[in-house]
Amino acid sequence: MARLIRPEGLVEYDSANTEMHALAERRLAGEAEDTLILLEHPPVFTAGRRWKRDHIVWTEERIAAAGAELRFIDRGGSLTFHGPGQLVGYPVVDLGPRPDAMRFVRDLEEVVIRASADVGVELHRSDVQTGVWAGPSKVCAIGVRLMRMRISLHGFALNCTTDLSWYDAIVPCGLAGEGVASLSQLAEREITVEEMVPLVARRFEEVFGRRLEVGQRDWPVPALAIPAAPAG
Amino acid sequence: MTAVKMPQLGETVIEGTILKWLKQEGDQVALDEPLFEISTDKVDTEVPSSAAGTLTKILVAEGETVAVGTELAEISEAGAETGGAGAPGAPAQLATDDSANAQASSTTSGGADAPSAPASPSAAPPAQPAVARTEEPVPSQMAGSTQTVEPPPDRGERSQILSPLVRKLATEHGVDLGQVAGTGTGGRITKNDVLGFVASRGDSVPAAAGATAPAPVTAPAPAVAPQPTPAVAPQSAPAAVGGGEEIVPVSHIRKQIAQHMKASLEVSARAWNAVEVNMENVARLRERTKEAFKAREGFSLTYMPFLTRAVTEALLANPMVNSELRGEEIAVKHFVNMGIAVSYDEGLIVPVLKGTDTMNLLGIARGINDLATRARAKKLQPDEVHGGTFTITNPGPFGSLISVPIINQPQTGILGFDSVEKRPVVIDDTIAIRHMVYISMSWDHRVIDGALASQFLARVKQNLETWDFAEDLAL
Repeated sequence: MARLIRPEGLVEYDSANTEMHALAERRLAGEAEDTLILLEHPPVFTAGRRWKRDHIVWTEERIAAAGAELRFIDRGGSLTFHGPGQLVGYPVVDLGPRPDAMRFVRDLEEVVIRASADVGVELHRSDVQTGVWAGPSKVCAIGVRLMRMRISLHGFALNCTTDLSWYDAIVPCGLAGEGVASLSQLAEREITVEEMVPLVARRFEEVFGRRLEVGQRDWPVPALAIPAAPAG
Repeated sequence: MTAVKMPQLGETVIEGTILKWLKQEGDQVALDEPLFEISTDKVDTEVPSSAAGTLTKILVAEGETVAVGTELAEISEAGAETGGAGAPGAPAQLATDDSANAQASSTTSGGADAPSAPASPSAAPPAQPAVARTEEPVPSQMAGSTQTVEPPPDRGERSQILSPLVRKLATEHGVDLGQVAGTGTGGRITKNDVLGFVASRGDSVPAAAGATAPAPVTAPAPAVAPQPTPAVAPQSAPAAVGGGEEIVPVSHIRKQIAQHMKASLEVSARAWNAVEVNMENVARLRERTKEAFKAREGFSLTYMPFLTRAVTEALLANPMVNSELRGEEIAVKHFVNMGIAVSYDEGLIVPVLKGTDTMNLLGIARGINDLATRARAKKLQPDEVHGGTFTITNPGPFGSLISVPIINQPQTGILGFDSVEKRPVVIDDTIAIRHMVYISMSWDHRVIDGALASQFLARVKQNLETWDFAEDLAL
């Protein structure tokens, strides 16, 4: 049974990252089910394995002073931002012994494109860059890692009501000259994370051909029960 | 010595970057232990080792980007226990046999067992070569090998359907296909027929075959095919054959099917009933979405996913049908692993689509297509033919109207789905033309009774006739 985990509030990045990896280990051992985690983080910049120093515009001190964290992590891609108003999706899914990782990434894009269309926002793929875009602006970043070449880690980050000024601190995904956008900005009305959660879950079911059951069974609640204070 | 190659993480991926070697030259590595990390576009992955031994040489440094299939390192197997005649051919085979070559060695060896593993068959009747060939011209002379007693006959039109692999093999070995007897469905010439023919005339098969197809040393196919025994005098020479009779050796898979079927009849109290189902809604939806579905998914939408979805729900609603008798106890399953009988050129195999209760129509369609495709390519993993809780067989495409399958032990029921065809039916006291099908089930009377079996079939019928499947397809 595939499962949807939806922790309330803002989930501190490190504990979410730790629990996601633990869940993937259990998935690999056959002790857990395929799971989609949908959550929000307090402000945090994460640098994937392909990050470069000049992709970080602000100093680490300035980032800390603004109330955000900086983390160096094990996913694909370069730098990105997570924070309040952004729907983060972590699919921990067994892609099987012959994974088509590109297909998986394209499917994640499809989920976001369809869910955004549900609220009237037309988004598209880019020929050159992973992610989901509105014109030249990225609305949803995607970065994935496979554990032992079969269990997916990390995922997508969809800007709903995100304060986009956070992105001034970095060159998102290492792409200079590309902008960022949010669903609310594009729709010219407030489109919240809460509004998007059921739509993304429904479209995930559709694209991946799985039914999701809501439940926390594979997610130790205590690790996530301490929401960090919303910043700014 | 095993060559470690850049795996392919998808059909469109042509290259990858080495992020990090997790082992250094001289280190010991265990099978499946993470060996290195690669990055392709936005996906990073750990790659598990495909062999156990010593990492003797790293050929591509961290940070370098190379094409899929590029040799990255060498692993020298401890003790060289896998050496011998088969070893030199193995690396070449890894490259062609499986794109994700880091998994290839396990896949290949696993695949070797799959088709011969309990092929828990049902009564789906793929045309059996033995039957088909009795109608063919009487042999005038015997070919010089044991496995094929048919002489080069005058081959009719139906045997002219040749797979690209067969054509290629024939060209490589200089085989005149008119000389080869086909043992496949409808007398088709299979890869093994060609290899067997080559072996019988004394060529060295493995070298050339290894380059294009799984070599006989490790390949799944020979395990289930008539065993070529080249250069051995026919022991049980079909000396007295004549009068339209021929002697065909029983293949390994045939023996397994025979044992499994006979054992099922001996242990179970088989009973049977059937319902007639109006498939009009499903047929129309299929017709309407056919092209868009094919364009998006790359394969055709058949009736099987609809049926599997409907049966899965009916099993959850009637779990005793989804159960297993174990001595004094009955194990009732509240999940569904659906066995789906797939006929292929050498017989019948029942891959299992696990967790159909967690899938919608689209997921089931993709799962069935994947399993059926790999079953016919003989690339199933051993665990993919085990663990079924119920089985569906689908002789419909062969034109069967109604079938009485044999239960796939230790399950309690097997459902047969036959030909969907337009029939006149009475609806509201008028005669209408609708797409109709007979859906039948053989069930074990030790576990359930006729009332439950009928209820279950009625539920399947109701699901197929009333559900709106369109939403699941998202077309």
